[in-house]
Amino acid sequence: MHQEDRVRLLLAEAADDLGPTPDLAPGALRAGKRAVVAGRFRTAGISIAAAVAVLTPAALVAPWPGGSSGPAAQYTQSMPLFPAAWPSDSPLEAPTTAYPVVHVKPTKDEGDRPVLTDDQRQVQYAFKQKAADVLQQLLPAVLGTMKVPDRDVMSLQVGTDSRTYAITLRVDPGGDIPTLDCGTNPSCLNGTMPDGTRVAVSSGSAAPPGSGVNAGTVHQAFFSYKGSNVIFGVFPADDGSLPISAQQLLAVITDQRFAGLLDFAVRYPALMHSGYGNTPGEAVPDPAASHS
Amino acid sequence: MPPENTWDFESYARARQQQLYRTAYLLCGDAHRAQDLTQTTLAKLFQHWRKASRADNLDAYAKTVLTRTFISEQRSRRRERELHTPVAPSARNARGGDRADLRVTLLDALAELNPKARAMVVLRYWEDHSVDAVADQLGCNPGTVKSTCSRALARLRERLGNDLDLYATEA
Repeated sequence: MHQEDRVRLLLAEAADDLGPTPDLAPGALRAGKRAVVAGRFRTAGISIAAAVAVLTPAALVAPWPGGSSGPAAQYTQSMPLFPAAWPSDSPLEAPTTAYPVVHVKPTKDEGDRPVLTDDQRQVQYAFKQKAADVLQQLLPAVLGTMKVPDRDVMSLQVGTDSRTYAITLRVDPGGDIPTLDCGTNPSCLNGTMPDGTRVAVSSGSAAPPGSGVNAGTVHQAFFSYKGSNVIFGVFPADDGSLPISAQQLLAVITDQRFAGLLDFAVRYPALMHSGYGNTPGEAVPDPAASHS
Repeated sequence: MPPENTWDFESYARARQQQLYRTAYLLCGDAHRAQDLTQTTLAKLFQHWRKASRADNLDAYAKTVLTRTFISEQRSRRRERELHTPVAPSARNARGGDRADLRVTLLDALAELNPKARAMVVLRYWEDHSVDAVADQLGCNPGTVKSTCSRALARLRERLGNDLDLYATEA
């Protein structure tokens, strides 16, 4: 018998040692569907990032210090840091530091914003201040000081006298965003949050694909967290600069303090609605009622 | 993807998963990892089912996906290789005393080959693919397959020693 045939026989016997495999088809089908969605998402991801990058600064970030016109502010510096309506059973403590409130002038029609009570607006404002405080601690100091735009609970800013970087922190009900598996993709980083949630930070041009414009690089994370879809990103300044790496952004996301912010937003989803991407005219439930 | 394609995929996956699992096992030498490898392969097939289902030889296509997935995963595992603990013989559900030991030795010997050489041995001698077919599947030229398989067999013989001859006599 040839040596090759001996090896053939031995391989066949080794394979025969295996018992029957459990049915792998359903798991493969689920994984395949996730991969299909992730592939579409990956393709769309940078486009979304680019669109948000373009829309967010344009829509929400006016030259700072801000302009003097536009719709009335949703939030003002005179609002309390610890509003009476702050959920008493929330593990997230109310803020203690007030960051400057900056006026932004939307360049698009805001439409009919949801009707907010004073209590709701105050809790949103306090949450933004809390988010600003947490991000001030977690983001690289070189980015500058956090600022709180006077509208849209999902927008924040950080910057110096010369540069302003827009930050988006969206937490929307859903939980159906598949976390990208970065593999060997050099513009993508995977990480794990303290509760085990897998996240991915992807980097791409802040300019629309094919525009030929050098608008710098945006780092953004899209992932599902406790039944909600999270988008968190930092956008370059007008000159295209962004002194934070994807690795540093990932470090922010995987910090327990950041998870605390998300937990609050997940628990009180109505508080995260302020008009952008929301159903026009939708009344936001009272936070005091949402946790009773 | 339309439902009928989903059904086609499931039919195919159920019909071929055992065969893929066996090949995956010979590639990686670990039953649990072989299941993961098989499932990953099937998931990739689903992801590209429209193209895969039109392949002239879907089984060969699936084996190519499996082999390339294995090689790709092995590369990423290279750094942690020192931490890899080979599965104990008993966990391999081996039967047959000394011959079972020999099979375990064979798997361990295969594990010492680099992933591509191992894939060549499995495709050539277990799947019984021609040299040209293996070259095609692994994206290399036939001469490389021949020389690599030859060296791999020499190493296996070196590792298995007289046991291989003894086995041949018993068989």
